[in-house]
Amino acid sequence: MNTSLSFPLSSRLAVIIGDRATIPRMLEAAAELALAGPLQVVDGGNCFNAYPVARHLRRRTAAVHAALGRIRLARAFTCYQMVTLLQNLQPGDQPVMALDLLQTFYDENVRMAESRRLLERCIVQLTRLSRAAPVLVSARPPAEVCATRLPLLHILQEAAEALYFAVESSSAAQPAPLPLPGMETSLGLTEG
Amino acid sequence: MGRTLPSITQMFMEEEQSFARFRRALRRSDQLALDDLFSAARKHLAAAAYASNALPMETFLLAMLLEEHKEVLRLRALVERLAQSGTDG
Repeated sequence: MNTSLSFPLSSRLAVIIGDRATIPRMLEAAAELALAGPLQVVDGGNCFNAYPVARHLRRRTAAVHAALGRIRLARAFTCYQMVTLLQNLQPGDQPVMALDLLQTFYDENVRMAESRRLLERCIVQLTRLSRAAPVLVSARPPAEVCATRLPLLHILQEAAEALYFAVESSSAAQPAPLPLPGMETSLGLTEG
Repeated sequence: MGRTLPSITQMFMEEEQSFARFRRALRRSDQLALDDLFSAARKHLAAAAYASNALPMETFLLAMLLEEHKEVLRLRALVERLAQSGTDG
């Protein structure tokens, strides 16, 4: 069910659960945030594609490179790297966006107990960061082959201060915008 | 680790695909002309990759323009040659 949602994202941990189709919307949100100021992006699913971000920025400003330069991107390819990345982030004014956070935690080569422990450490870090600036996290449910990792998604959901489920809109050719700080918007999201 | 960005060929195909509806709305002769433009841009993918433009479509458009200008230069030379042979004869 689609609901219109007014979502002022201010200094809190917001989690958006959706499939891969959520990513283009997250990238648009990243572009919007980069227009306003510095942005820290942590990518857990190797899904940050700079080209759509640049395209979106180009529609909004002539200073594309300046805006792109305000995005600080770090990619994590293992859950251990994800923990380290988040631990090393200093809380500041800039919003933090964690893309596809759980993807590295779905790795079957890491024991479930270990993944759980590492995720809990990540959540501690995300909560710490969210006290200073908005933190927007996106996550996907596990694929069928690693369905036993579903509890990790539940742990993240429980930690969220604001929880949203991205709803597929089959008729929409353009992705709907994501909530941004201080912005009231109508979303294809269902509040959880 | 894999790629962190799509290759220039992937980007080119994505950009070409984004004009699919536009192409479909054109008449057949215009579709062929549009296909020629994209074919012209495809010749310069290596250069476009080297350019690493954040907005690759700008590079593709310039590549199309480049090929068009080469054609203009070729035709201009041909016209001059024909004019020259006309005055000589």
